[in-house]
Amino acid sequence: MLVAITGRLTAATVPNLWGRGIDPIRQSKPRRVIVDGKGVTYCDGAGLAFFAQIRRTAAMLGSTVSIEGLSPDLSDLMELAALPDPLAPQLAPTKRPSIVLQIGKGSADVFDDAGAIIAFLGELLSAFTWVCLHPRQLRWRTVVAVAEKAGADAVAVVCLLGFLIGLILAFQSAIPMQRYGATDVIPIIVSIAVVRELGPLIACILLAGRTGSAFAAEIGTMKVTEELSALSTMGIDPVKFLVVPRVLAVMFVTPFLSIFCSLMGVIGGYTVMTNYGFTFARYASTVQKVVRCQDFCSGVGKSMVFAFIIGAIGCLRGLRTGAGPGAVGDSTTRAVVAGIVLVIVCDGIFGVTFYYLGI
Amino acid sequence: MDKDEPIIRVESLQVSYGDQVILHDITFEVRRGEVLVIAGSSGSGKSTLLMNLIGLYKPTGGRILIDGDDIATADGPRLAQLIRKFGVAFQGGALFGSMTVLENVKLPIEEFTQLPEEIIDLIALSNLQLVDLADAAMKLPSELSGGMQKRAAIARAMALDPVILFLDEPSSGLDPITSAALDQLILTLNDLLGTTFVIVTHELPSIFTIADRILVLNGTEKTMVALGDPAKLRDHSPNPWVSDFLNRRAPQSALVKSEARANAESKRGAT
Repeated sequence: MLVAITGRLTAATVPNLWGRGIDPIRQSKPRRVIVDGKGVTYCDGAGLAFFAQIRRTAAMLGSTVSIEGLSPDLSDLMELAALPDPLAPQLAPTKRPSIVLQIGKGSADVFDDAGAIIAFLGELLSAFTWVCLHPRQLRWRTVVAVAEKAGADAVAVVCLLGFLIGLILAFQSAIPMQRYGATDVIPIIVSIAVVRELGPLIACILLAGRTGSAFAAEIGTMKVTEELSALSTMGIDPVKFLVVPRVLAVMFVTPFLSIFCSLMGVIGGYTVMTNYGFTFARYASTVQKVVRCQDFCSGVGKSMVFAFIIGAIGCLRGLRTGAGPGAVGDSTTRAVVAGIVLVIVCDGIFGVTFYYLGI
Repeated sequence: MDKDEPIIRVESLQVSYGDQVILHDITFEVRRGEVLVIAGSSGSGKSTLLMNLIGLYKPTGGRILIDGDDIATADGPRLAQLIRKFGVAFQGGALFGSMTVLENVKLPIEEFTQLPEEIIDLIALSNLQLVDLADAAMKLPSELSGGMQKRAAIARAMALDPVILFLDEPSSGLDPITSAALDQLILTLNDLLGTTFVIVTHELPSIFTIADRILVLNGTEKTMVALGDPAKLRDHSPNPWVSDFLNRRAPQSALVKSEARANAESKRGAT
């Protein structure tokens, strides 16, 4: 069978030729295909692909192909680009692993991750013990720098969020409460909800988004740029050098953020209550009566535990960053998601525990 | 420890990732005070071998003895003691971006000595002066050129006066003049301090300038194919791949474009 090709073989012309050149070969199944390329004046990547497809189709049918008449330059180019195996096995679709295999691999990954988290927690606790025994060897400069970034720089946004949450909570409660003539209850709802739950939770969710992600990105980048390897070859433990100062710093500043958030939430509630005839003195005295010391302390205490979780998860994700440009992004995402999920799960556990303990 | 005793002895090293063998049957010694270059084509396992030598990866077989102690099995204080014997300068420098160059060099000294701050400052500055970077001491790594970052990494690796310096691709990505200056620096440090150097590179001009001996890895065979004097291996290696590898880039680099093109055309004609 003779296939004659003329003119320029480019990305613009090849799609029109594709079917006209290949289909007759498929249909007639010749023993030998002769491609006459005398008339080909130019050939780009698409042209090379066209010739490769002729070879591939012929190979599938068990035919032989000879390309004749090409100019010396094009002939050289064709030779250079000819695939060793014309069937192009590289393009064969990769077989998707079976569902069982995927579930197995997924489960193995989860167990692997859980093992890594447990090992990391052990390392972290041992490093904290070391810090307690050798406090002067901790890099306090890093602690202060991280505390400033994670704490002082976050005060404004935490206050804003706290204020808005208090305001929205009071506003949404006011509508049904007014219907039952129970507007006096609104300060109680707002202050208890904000001081016990929402203040610490909002401050910590913000911490996960701002600081947990920053830890993962920073340490992940250090891993990609071999800085962690450099630390190891200097005999410096990355957990003591990088993780402990960061986790300590967030554990120190988060209770303050939580207090600011709660305070601003209570003030946010007051701005709504002014419309229901509450003076500041009346509002403050109601809040003071219902918010007990243990409400305040449980909120602050929880926030410290949440800060530990967020800091540790952020650093762990950074340390476990893989290779490649997307790895740091993946670590950051996982740090934020895992941080928020774990904080909320932990908050639920605290809620139930405090209920049974009568706190 | 006997002075004639090799400082590094690698015996039947094997490295695999899962089922995939990366390196096998690697056996060699590094003598005290010599410059050994590990060379080979891209993907031949040079950096993997280096990572095993410095204990970042654990080999799947064989032993790596540094001053008589196996780094693959050492842990705890024994590993810490072993690590103090060498310094490593990574390919990209791996300087800590949030610290100045001086702080980077000070870091290992601060961590492992109880010296007063003033003395640590001066040790670090002297190390930077050795690599001609004292003027850049207060700069951040991001403010340095690629060559300066590599020199700063060498200064940091030398901070605790190690007996061995491992350098990963020190001249990659550098222009020929900066690369030659770095080669001179390595030779000077080797002469003046007697430090043993183990250097991974595939830059042929550097290899011939700095290496006392060269260990050549072949990516296809996944093992070492030669060990010896680079010039002798280039001219008289029984393995044609080795002499071809060592000969290839030197004459090619001297070709102008028209000659290189003619070369390529004649090769195409031959095939």
